[in-house]
Amino acid sequence: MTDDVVQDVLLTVHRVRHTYQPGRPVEPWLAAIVIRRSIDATRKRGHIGRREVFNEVAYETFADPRAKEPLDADASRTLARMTESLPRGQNEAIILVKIREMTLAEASLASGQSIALLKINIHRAMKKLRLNLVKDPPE
Amino acid sequence: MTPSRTDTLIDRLATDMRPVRPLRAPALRALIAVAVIALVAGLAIIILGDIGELGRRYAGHEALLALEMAAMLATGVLAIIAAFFVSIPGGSNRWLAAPIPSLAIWLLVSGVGCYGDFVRRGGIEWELGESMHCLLFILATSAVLTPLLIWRLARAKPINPLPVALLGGLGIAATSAFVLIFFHPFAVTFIDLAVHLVAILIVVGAVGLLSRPALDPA
Repeated sequence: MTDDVVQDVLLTVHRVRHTYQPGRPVEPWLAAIVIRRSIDATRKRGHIGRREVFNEVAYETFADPRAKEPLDADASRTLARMTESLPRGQNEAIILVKIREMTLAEASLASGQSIALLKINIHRAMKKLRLNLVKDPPE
Repeated sequence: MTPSRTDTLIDRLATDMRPVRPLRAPALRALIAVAVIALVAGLAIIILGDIGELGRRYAGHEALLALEMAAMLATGVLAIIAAFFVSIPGGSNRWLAAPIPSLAIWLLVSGVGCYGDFVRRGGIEWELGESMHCLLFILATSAVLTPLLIWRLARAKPINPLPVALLGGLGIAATSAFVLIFFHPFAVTFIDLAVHLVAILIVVGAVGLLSRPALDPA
């Protein structure tokens, strides 16, 4: 959390650097930004804490994490098989945006597809995957 | 060693860094905003208001009227100045209290005026009547002046936009109520005072709700 606040403070300082009055002490200006971002972070954590329950055990399928690996491998194999059936552009769009969780802008840079094309390809790919799932559900 | 996410962020921000023109002192920016609002309100009063009629309506209560108007004007001006000071990081939180004394005097004097009216008439008239026009007048005047003030306040990208918006809203609502006096067809009654308060609360509440989208906070 401290790292998040430090980064938030840096971004805020960057955005509001025009509000610093040259010639005046910098400490109160910086302190106000740090205090505000700390309050925001605490509030955000409070909001999330009220709505979400963190239950570490719930994520564990087996006591020994190694036992989960075959299951994970199965899942990635199924995913790979499903996305391989897509045309190249759609396959690339799905992998970059939905699996590697890149933003549209990042995926556009990585693939050379425009953002609009990425959106169209993702939409078409999702539709096709959905149809394939109905026709040929994985075991 | 791979650089941490924070180091990467610092590098990215430093690469994109461009010189910026610092904002002028909040006091100067506030005075310019007050001057522009005064110009708009002053022109409306001179062109559309009837100052002679105002004098006749309040004959015998000039001192009370002058005090009430001075309190309204002080509330409006102080709230607008305070909004500019609070919008800058590190601005003193004491500015939040700046409009409170004049606001208290305004409500007190209005209350005294209403009480006099109540004694003269021998009761409260629960008719809304002309008061609805007052409500619409305050809302319409505020709707014209608010974008002007918000535009100037948003330049600072306030890190905590809510107090800035509430002070700005109060400043605009008090200014609108001050302008209303010049167009008011009758002395303030109880129901009228209540309607004025509702109008002011609507303006302050609306600007408060709009604080995030309108003030472009950092």
